[in-house]
Amino acid sequence: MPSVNEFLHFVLVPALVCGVLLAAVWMSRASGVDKSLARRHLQALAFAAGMWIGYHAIVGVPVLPSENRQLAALDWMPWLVLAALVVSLVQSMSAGRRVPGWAWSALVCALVVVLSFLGRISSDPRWLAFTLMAATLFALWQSTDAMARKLPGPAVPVVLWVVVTGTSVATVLSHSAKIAQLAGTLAACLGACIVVALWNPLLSAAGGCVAIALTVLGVCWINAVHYADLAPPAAVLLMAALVTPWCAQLFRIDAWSRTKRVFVCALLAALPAAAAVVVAQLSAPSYEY
Amino acid sequence: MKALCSVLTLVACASVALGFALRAPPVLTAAQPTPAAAITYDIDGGHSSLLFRAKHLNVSYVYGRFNEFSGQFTFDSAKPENSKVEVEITIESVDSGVDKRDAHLRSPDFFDAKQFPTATFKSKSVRKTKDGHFEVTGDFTLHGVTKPITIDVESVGTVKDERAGEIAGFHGTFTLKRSEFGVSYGPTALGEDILVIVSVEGTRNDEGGGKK
Repeated sequence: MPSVNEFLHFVLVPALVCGVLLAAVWMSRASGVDKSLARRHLQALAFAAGMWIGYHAIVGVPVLPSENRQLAALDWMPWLVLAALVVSLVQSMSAGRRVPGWAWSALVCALVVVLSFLGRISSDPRWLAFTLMAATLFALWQSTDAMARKLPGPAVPVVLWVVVTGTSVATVLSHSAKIAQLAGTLAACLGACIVVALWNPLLSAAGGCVAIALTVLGVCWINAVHYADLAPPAAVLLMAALVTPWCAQLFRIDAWSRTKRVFVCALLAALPAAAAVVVAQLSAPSYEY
Repeated sequence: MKALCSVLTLVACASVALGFALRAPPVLTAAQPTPAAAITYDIDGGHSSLLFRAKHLNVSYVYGRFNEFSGQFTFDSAKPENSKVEVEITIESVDSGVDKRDAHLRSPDFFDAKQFPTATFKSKSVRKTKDGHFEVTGDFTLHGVTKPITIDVESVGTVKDERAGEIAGFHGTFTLKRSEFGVSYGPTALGEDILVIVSVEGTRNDEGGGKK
């Protein structure tokens, strides 16, 4: 159980820093297409800052591999967050937009999978599984990004918050408090994002928010399933929760009030996320000792 | 008839004596150090222990052990600097006496057994500090991190066992800072300094070369 001091460092401080930076990015309500696009990508800065602060509080100073240090898959998280940030910053510049956005996200998804299995790929070359993992992450990234562009405001951050919180609870039940806490930091940053989105409904999670969130989620899921004890069906349910806003589209929720829209999206995402927690609980023994 | 009885009595006595002889404990004699000769021993897992001690909540010490480890050590009593040791520890065998805690210790929060299934120690130098005491310096790899450590080692003794052969035993301790090995989870619940206690018994390996 983390102490109050640890909780402050990996939840409250990242949330505050992320919230302040997001508010700065979305300060003006002016909504020119170019300005809005740049903001979407720049918000990656807020999430990356929050994640780095949280990582430092939970794991320590990020390290790079060296002759005397082989990195664990989770040690790559801050560097992958940095990669997602760089990709977002490049896309915020007009020159960066010459390369299609999907190509950038495909690159980060491939990096997430490759670095999670670095040093282990040669001994166990399950290329099909690795390709499927990267492709699934890429599909979820594109789907969430498209949904965020369709539904600006707090709806998509709320869905992401539900999925990330579900991931955090499911992983803590699967013998990894560290992965759970890192997901908790992301949930705290998304909480700040929801508050800013309530203040400025022009905020769109598309771009930087989705980039950092999907990168962190990808690292958490791979680590929890392959190196801790998260049951694969629980991870699949959490992924399914991420695409539930598309089901809400069947009811043409664009025409609904913002509050109703957010509530329905959250509810739809919460069902598979809660099922994932139940599966994790049933498939792993109790964590207490 | 008398002669037959005598023969039978003799045979019976001889059988009893032979029986006792077969059941008698092995004769142990203190081994004389072989002058200027390095002897290589295989670690006998059944008579060796690898324990660790961590401070819990700053109020008590929790002990654990690794049940599986193997390796070899070479001891040269005349020239201790020629001695060396190599040990490989199976992380999955961690045993703190509580199954659920062991599962947590194997997880990415601590030893991350799936990614780093073994820890190793390879000596680089051995120095005699006083009679029967040595300082063994070498590279310890745990959780993917390799760092030099120094172990204070005491030679417990050597013996010749008629059945097992020549046996030598050593006992050593060292303290490591777990965060330096990337095992930094739960700094408020668990102490930073981990005391490691190594007690090994080795059987002479006449091949003197690689592992058996």
